[in-house]
Amino acid sequence: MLVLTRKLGEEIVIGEEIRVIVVEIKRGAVKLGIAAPPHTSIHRQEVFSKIQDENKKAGVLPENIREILKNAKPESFKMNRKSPLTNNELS
Amino acid sequence: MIIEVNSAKLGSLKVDSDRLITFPDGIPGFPKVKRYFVVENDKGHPLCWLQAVEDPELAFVVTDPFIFDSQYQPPIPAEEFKRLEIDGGESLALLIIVNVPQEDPLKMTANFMAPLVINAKTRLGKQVILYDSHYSHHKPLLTAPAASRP
Repeated sequence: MLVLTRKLGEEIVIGEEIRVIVVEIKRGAVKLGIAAPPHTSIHRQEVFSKIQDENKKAGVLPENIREILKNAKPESFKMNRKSPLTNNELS
Repeated sequence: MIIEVNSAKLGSLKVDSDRLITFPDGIPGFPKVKRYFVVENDKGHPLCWLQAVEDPELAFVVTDPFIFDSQYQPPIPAEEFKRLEIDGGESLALLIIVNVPQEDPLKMTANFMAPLVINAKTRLGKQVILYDSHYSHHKPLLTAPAASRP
């Protein structure tokens, strides 16, 4: 891993299109400004990892998932509107 | 064009290619799987499926967040709408992923913190993580008595 020292207001350039600037350093926290092309996703690592983990878990379903869904009684769901997939036709 | 997917969970499925939803970046955890399609359960069932095309083993249980929270107002950043070319409510569709734990399926939860934001016209989508919101990434979907059953 490349480790760089930067002072307040100094920047790092990654590739041609990504710039990271140190905006503020205060009580153990560094505030960074990031300029990147619109298609670049920028995430806070700990939150991104949480969503990644949640997706990976959701991708592993119980063997009998179809049965589970079939047997789940509609009234046991915490629904507050009855009609599914009303936002826009996707299926 | 009709595409055939031999789903591990749902059996042999046929889908018209114009029903596919493409996630150009994949979704976090599955960056290489780009194309999915929605399969509904029996009529009126609140949950449906999001079957992957490139990986027949991969299917998610998904749902319409508004069924469970009619007040759901995810603060989706304007640049995400711009990126997906969503210009108004007409082209916007939202799904959320449901996690069904193997060990206790009745403790199923849904991820309201990272909805799948989809342009229903172009059928392009992205899972948007709502950093500054109070929405849970694992909100229980079943009522307490069922959910607390051992």
